[in-house]
This record gives sequence, structure tokens and C-alpha cells, in this order.
Amino acid sequence: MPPVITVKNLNKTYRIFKKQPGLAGAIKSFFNRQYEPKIAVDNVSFDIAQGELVGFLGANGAGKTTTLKMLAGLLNPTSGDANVLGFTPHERKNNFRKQFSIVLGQKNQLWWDLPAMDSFLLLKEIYEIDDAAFHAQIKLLTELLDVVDKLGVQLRRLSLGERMKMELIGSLLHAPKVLFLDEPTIGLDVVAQKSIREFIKTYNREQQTTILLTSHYMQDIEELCQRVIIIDAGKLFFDGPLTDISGRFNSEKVLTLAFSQPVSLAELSRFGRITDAADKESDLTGDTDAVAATATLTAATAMHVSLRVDRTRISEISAAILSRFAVHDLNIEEVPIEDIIRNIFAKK
Amino acid sequence: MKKYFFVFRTSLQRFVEYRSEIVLDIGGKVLLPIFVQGVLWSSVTATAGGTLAGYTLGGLITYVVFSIIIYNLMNVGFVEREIANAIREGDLNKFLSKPVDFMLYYFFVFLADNLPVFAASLVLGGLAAAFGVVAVQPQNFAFGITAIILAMYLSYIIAFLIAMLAFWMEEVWTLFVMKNMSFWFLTGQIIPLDLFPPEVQETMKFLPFGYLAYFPTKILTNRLAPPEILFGLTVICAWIFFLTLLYKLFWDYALRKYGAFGG
Repeated sequence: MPPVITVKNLNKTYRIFKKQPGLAGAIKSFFNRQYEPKIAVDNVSFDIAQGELVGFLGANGAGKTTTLKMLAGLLNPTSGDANVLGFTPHERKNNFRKQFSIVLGQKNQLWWDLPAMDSFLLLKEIYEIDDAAFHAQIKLLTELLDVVDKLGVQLRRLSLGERMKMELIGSLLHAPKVLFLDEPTIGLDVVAQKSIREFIKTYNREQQTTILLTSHYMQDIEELCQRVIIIDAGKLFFDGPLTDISGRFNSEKVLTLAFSQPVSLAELSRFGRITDAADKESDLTGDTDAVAATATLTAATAMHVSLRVDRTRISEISAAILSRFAVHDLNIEEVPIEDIIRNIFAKK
Repeated sequence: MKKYFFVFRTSLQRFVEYRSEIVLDIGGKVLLPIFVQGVLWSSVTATAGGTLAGYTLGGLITYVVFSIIIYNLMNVGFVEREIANAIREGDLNKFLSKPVDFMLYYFFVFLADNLPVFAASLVLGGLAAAFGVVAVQPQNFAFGITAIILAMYLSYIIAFLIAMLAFWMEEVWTLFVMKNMSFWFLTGQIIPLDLFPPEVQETMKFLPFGYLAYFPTKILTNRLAPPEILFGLTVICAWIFFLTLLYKLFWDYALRKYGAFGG
């Protein structure tokens, strides 16, 4: 089966109006406007197969939204090809537009002054959905998202989380084959984030809708996506299984130790970088950011310690620690993906 | 087309939510100007010795009542702001990603926005006819309604073209203000265009402005002969054709350049 989304050598360059500082600069640029090119997307290629749920990551301004907008036909690429469901997105054929949806987390699609149901009825006409399919889809989606009783409430009277749920329903009424989600959980509380996350997961699994998702919350990505595409400064940086990120961009593992008596941190630091230390387990900060934590450690000894250890020497180091100290408990884990990605972007 | 009827219906529903605004609209934009103009023209005709370029005071007041109501049907104030905002703030994205035409969509919002005034003026006109205040010839009534509907589209497409400048400009509302100020005079909403010098009148026949108020008013007050009416309708259609073509070219160009920056 051919991929649902194909992107080949995609480029987008914006022309940015260059403003010079100060009044003199403003007057100068009034008569002589200068533009400079800004490369937003730089030679990006990838394929996405039907039913995949792919996480699209990158720092702010990395080019994620620009890429999504090109795939949704909202922007014309400067060069290169994008193909979604066999269509060239920026031609904006009606047949194409009936088969995908894009949700921009910070934008309302529905009417602010009207109950969600009224907006849905309008969308039903816009997408030319027949009655039976429409009602079945409304029933399915409102039940999954638990907003059956909120359909008749004016949108502006709903909470942020409920509004996002309505936006999602609105975008799925026509059962799109491809869904682009740009920051669907932005600004939501933990409970709402979780329920939206679960919904996306269930919907993708049951309907086999191809979903490309961007999010600032690593938890969204970790729980939803098996595959991630990382884009950095417009360039494709990584494309592969989420679990590969640890192996490729991180040479360490996290070793968490509990001792029977206080141990010297200075001695322990010969085995790896200490990221967390305390006398009681409950006093561990849980801070996994190695660089920041090392700087703030002041105590000389501790009962509970976390350290980062070279992954190739993990068994050798564990054995050495076990033989030298009175270890009460030992735990080996992968470095959280959030940290790895943060470090990838921090290095740039 | 069914989807656009739904746009119309849903918009109407939204406007009806603001009942007080409709009352204010009809009072502030129709009744008050008619009163003010009535006072104005009565003192003007009094000093001019009874008649002004063939208009009696009664004739002028009839003109003003028609022209003000008709020009209110051309009111694009709400949609022109919405269109410019959608372009500037990036809400245009939600239209571009759906199987719906942005320009037609807002045309039906515009129709819904003006329906209350349209209905109110039909009722007013019906009452006026019943009491013998006005007597529109049936043929002129048909021509008049046709002219009004064509003029509504003309008014909309002019506003749309100006609102589209939001693709390039930060603030287009000054342009809307300039447009509205010049339209006050150019459309004949306040002063009948036949009070202007003949050369100006001749030129105005070929420009779109007079067709938004003066022309339909003259038809409905039985002051134009059939050949003049047909000539006018031809000019409106020509402008509609030309401006729609301009919109198509301009729109395609703008979208190719469109940054979709908002969000």
C-alpha cells in the first residue's frame, strides 16, 4: 500500500521584512524596504503510512507548523513536493478537503456565540455528510469524549478543555482519513490533557485514521506515538521509533540507589554524574536534569542517590558499587525522553 | 448551494441572539437619518423658494426615505471587518482547509446580517403603499428589487476587494472609513445625484457608486424611464463581472503569497 503522506525535499522560505531600529531606521525602511529570506523548512522528506500516529517535534520556530500548513494546503511550498492522499495539498481540491482535517490548538473553528451542535450542523452541510453518518459520528465522538450533555451549551460558556473536545469533534465529523493536530492539549489542565490524549489514542486505533501530531508536552508524544519526526531549524533531524531516541542520542542510563548507611557523594561521583541525592527517599527532588542538579548538590553524604552512568559500562559499574557500598536497593532506567530531547535542542 | 443557505441560516440565528442590536440598527441607521435629513431639506427648500432642481420638499423626503433604507441594505460594515480580521489573524485557515468558498461564505453572512433591515423595510414599504403614501408601479417594483439585489452583491464585492488588502497591510479599517465617507456622497444616499452638475452626473452613470442608492431609489420612485433602467442594469452587471474577475485574479495571487502567519 502506498503511503498516505509523502513529503519530498520540501522547502519553504519566507520573506521577512527587515526593520532597522530607531526612528531614522524606520524612515529609511519606509523608503527602502529590505527583506531577508528566512528558511522555515529546509529540504524535509518523509513518508507516513495509513493508520500511523506520528509525533512531530521541534523547538518553537523549528518549522513544525509551517510543515503542517503545507501539508494542509494552507501554504504553498517554495519548492519540493508534498502529497497527501494522492492530492497536491495547495491545489485545495474539494475532494481533498473532504478527507482531512487540521486542528490548530490556539484557534477556534466553531462559532463562539452558538452551541456546539449548531456549528456541527453547519459543518455537516459544508462537508455534505449524510444524516445517518452524521448522527452516528456525533454519538461516537461525544460519548468517547464525555460531552454528550454539553452539545446545547453556547461555546463561550464551556471550559477550555470542553471547548477543545468540541473542536476535535468538529474536525472529525466527516471522518477524515488524515488528521493534523497542532498542539491539541496546549493550555489544558492535567485531567483534560489526559482525556484528550486517551481519546486520540482510541480514535486512532479504532478508526485507523492517520494522525500527525505536534505537542510541547512530551507526555503526549510518549503515550501516543511510536514514531517521531524531529525537526530542527527547518531540517529533518530524526525520523524513527521513539525508543530509538534513547540509543542514538544518549550514551547514559539512570542508576538509582538506596543505601543502608550514608555514603560519601565525592566517592560516588567517580562512577558517574550525580543528579539527585537526599537522606530520605521522599526528599529526592526527582530532578532529572543532570547539569542543573550537580550544581545544586551541597551535602557531603546521602542515603538515596541518582546518577547517570555510561550505558556501555552499566553492569561493571553496578557491580563495583554493590561490592563497595552497603546497597539496599538498585534500579536501572533509561534517561527520560523529555530530557534527551531537551538536551538535543539545548546543544544547538 | 445548500451549504451556503445553511451559512445564511446559522448567521441569522447568531444575529437574532442580539435582538437589541437589531432594534438599535433600525432606529439609529434608518429612522434617525430620515428625521435629520427631513429637517435639513425642509430648510434648504424653504430658502431655495420651494423647489430644488425639480424636487419639491415632499419629493426630496420621499427620495431620502428610499435612499437611506436602500443604502442600509448595502451595509457591509460587519462582514468587511470580519473578512479583514480573518485574513490578518489567520482565521482564513479554517476556511481554506474546508470544502467551502470564503468569498461566498461571507456573502451569505452579509445577506443574513441585512435580512432584518430588508424585512423591516418591506413591512414599512407595504404600510406606506397601503396608506397611499407611495405608489410604486409594479414593473418598477420588479426592476427596483432586481437593482437592489445586484447592488448588494456589488457593494459586497467592493468591500471584499478592499478587505483583501489586509494580506499586505496591517490596518485596513482606515480604508473602510475613507470608503464609507466617500460613499455617503457618491452613492446619492444623502444628496440626489441629479443635484450635481451635468458633467458629474454623466460620469457617475458609468461608475458603480450611484447604483448602490441613487439608481434603485429613482426606479422605485418612478423617476426613470425603461431605457434608462435597462442601461443602468447593464452598467451594474458590467461592474459585477469586472470586479468579480478582479477578485478571482487578486485572490489567487494573494493565496500563492499568503503566509498563513496567524498562529
